[in-house]
Amino acid sequence: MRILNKKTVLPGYGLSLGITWLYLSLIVLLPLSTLYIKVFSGSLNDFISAVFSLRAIKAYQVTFGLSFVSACINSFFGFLVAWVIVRYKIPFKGFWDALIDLPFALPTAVAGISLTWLYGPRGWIGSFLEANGYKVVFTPIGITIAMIFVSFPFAVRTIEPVLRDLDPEVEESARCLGASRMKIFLKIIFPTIFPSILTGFTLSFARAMGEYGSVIFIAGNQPLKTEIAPLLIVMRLEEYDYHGSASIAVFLLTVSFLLLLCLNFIQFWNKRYSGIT
Amino acid sequence: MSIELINVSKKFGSFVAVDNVSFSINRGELLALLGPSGSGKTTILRIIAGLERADSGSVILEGRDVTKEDPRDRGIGFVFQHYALFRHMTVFENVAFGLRVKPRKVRPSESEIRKRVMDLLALVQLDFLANHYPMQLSGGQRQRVALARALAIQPSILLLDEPFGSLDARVRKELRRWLRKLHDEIHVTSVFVTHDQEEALEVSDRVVIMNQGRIEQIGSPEEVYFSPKTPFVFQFLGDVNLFHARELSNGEIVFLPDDARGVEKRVFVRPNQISIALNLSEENPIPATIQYINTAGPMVKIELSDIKGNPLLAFISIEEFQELNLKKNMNVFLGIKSHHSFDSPPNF
Repeated sequence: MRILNKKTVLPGYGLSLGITWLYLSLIVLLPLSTLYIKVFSGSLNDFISAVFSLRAIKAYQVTFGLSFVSACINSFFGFLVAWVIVRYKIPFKGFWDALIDLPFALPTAVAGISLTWLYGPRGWIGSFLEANGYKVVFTPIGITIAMIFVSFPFAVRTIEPVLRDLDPEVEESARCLGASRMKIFLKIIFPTIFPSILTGFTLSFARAMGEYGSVIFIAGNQPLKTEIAPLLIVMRLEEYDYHGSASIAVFLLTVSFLLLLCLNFIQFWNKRYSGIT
Repeated sequence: MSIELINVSKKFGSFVAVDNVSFSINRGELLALLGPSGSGKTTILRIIAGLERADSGSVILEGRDVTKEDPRDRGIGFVFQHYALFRHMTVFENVAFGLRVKPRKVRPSESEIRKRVMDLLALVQLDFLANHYPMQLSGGQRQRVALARALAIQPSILLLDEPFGSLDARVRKELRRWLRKLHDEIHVTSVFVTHDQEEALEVSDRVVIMNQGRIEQIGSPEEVYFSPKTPFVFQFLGDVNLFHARELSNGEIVFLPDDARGVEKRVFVRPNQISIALNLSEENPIPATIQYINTAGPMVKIELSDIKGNPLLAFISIEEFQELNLKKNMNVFLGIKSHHSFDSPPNF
């Protein structure tokens, strides 16, 4: 344990390292590894049949597909909102600023109920859409809206500080060099904030993928159509199929882990210029 | 005439940054805008570049009124104090930026861009760093990249805002001599802003000295140093002692503190124009006490106080210092070798 014997200027290195390890193990590593141990102590056939049943595959498609769509939409509008908040003087800025964080704080069930009312056949927006032949509640569109709602703050709050830190002199020097506004945006601003957009995308994607509370109200939860993967886990549990529910959970966990890993690699590649490589 | 500013004024809220300033810059000249912070020098530079709009007055560039023109159409090279490099681009791409964003019709070919960028990097002696990112360079190197980038568009004027302001003292001196040499090679009309009088006097062909949004004096470094027009210029360009001397009716100036003849006159004396003697004489009539001696440096710096307790500063050579064998708290007599006074000194 050479690492523990290394002299550092800060006191309590060994102690704080121990606490950090213990805490992370208890909070993160232990629950996750229990899941894996539980699943892989069962038979492989059971695992495969649970994970790759038609209903499960459809549920993954709904979950991953719609999370992706909502993360894309959030990244775009999140950037837009962050841009407006940072760059423009708008009336009641503090109010709008606080509003962005609301989905963080709101219990997701509250969000689910209000969205279902709003977009339902008798809701303000829903009744109007219904009259024009669009159905939102109990369709993938409804699920997407709920996912967008709960993961929106991630997109804004990751882009905003980077946008704020942009040096105005950098844009001014691009202007002096003859760049148009469009070129300044495409060649200077966008590449600088792209890593933060990607981070916002990742966080919002992960949040949407794990969202349960608000989605189940608006989704309708029809198997093969609007059933999300987290709900399927609960369904299996209610059927006393503990191994099946754990199998799906492990699969979800692995896929989301791999997705995050991929995005982190892109991040890493993108930051190549920020230091000594 | 390359640049002409006519009655330019600019306010930020109620703060007057530039107050009715007019001056012109000759083609191929290296001009320094010198002044304390808040004197409006950077604002003037930004008005020339078009990054700031003047409230009134006009900017003439090569005979063309550009007052309302966008900076991107002015063809001006601007070097910022903090470099403002594009950190996600290599050094090469930074320098190539101005060429790459040109409209397709006038954009040089890829091989031309390559050649021009490498030539510029050779000029600033950084061709070996072409593929590095700005974060991997030192401050002095970054500033030279910024300079090469500004020169890439072949600007009619080069503007430099405190170009050496964020560098350490040694690099600063090196780089400013290098800039002077570079200017002698390429002769692009240049204006640089500084608050460092030594830098301005050493590098520029002419100096514009600014104070509170107005021009105090314009002239060659020798002119402003040896014949300052205002007390501000005299004070700003170096250490100074203020004497309340008296002017006699025949024009003679006497420094004796208890002399009651003539009328009072404020007289400015540079520290190296004060002589120190151990005994009272006609040349050294002013009694003073040594407070502090600093021998580190090319001259010995001696802080004194006169009999009223006013602080004085004198610089003498090391040889003279050793000969007199001066010590702290010694009583000595000062003489004035040369002095400067202004007919109507503003209050300060």
